[in-house]
Amino acid sequence: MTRQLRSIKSAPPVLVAAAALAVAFFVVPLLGLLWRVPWTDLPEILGRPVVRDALVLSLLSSLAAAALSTILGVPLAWLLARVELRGRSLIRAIVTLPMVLPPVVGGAALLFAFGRRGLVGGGLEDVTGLLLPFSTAGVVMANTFVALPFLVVTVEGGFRNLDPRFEAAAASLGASPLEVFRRVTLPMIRPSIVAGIVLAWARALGEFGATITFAGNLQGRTQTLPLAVFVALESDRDEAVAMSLVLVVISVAVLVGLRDRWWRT
Amino acid sequence: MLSLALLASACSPARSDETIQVFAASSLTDAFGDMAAAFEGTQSDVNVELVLGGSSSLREQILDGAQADVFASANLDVMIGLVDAGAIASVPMTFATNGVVLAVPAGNPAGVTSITDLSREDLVVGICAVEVPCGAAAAQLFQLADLQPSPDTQEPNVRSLLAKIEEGELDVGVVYRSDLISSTSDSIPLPQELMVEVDYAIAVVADSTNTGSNGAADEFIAFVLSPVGQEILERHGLGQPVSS
Repeated sequence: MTRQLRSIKSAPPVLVAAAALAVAFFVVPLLGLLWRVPWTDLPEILGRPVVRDALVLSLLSSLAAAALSTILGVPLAWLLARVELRGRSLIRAIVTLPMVLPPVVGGAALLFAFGRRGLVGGGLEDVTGLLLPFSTAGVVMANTFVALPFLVVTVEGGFRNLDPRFEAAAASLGASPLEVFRRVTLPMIRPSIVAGIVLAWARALGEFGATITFAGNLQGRTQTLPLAVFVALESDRDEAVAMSLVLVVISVAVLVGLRDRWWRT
Repeated sequence: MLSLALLASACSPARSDETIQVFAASSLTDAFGDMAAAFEGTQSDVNVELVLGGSSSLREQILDGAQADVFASANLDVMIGLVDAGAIASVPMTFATNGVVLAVPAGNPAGVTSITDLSREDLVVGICAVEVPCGAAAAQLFQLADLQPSPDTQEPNVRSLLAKIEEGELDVGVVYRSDLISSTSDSIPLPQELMVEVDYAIAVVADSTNTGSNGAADEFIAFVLSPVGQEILERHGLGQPVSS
């Protein structure tokens, strides 16, 4: 695909000015953060148990949430895009609700459903002995709750843009529906799936409101990096800034790693 | 026409209203709501704006240049931190005391009877994060009781901790005595030797423009320390400062 790019000199100055303002809007807070980073103490701060615990927990829980979102989200996206379904728009609205819902409301809803006194949480504890609030499983659950919609929306778009004739051709050559899905559909929408996983993972990594409301805050068990930053902001600014820097670095590293998709010019 | 003019003059008095910003600890939420209303009733032209939050969070906001006139903190350490940073203009006064208690959901479903139950493996236990005053007070309590419980959560402020106790998600937690006044949860009394008392301190913030002998910030603090102010605090479960 070739694109005709014009010289910036011929671009309307109003548009260029607005665009420059938009860039500054993101760059200035980033500089504000970098400006406060305690560079000399950084190695010592990053070696603290509270920081290491939060980093490990954040990586594990966000990756688990991304994996769970993929396993549950890809089939759902396929269903929404490809199957004649009564109440499809209602299902889609419910699934995407967490994208617009304040996360703290989502966390409260999870608590009222899966808490020990919740709608199903009490029964779940009696049967399985599993206690979701105040557990790492609860963190993964809160993360998945907010991350899954991003995967579903992205992958559903991929399914919709895929020409159904490829699948029809494979089917006419004798492939079973599941084989078509596995060997034709999935490989062709791979870019959408990758983008969906990354978006879901990034959303899970930054999750705060639903986590602290549903899973609480305990070092090593439920205290992810955003929670640790929140608590540290009130007591140890340097520690908070150092952990914020870690979050920024991880996020930038992933975006750079995906430059084939998003940094292609 | 005339009535309209009267109405307009009633709404905008000749002297411009003075507004003071009072930064107060979250455990003062209800008490200082009443306090502000009562104080405004004694003054013709002063508005009180309450900014409520965790004491340490408010301290950071003041250090970052927030427009505060008065700061009321739920422990002395937070206030001392601000004094050391040169952010306080008056001598801090102790204006109230509070104590920590064990709170359990209504009816005490887990059957908590004493502080040693906090070490029970089958109980879900919550405290405040040590970074905030109610967490520091809980740590002090555990030290007095020679106990090292492993809590299941360290909530960022006392209100969110209490909410999870009321909801029954936590079996027991360490909160302030005053928090139970307007709560559905029950309290488990602690023996005399495990009483942890915390002092609340109030002072004028250095950046305040409402100071001086007739300044509204000083007037507000005087009101809090007056018998009327102390009566309001007592109604909300806070004790009088121990006079030296």
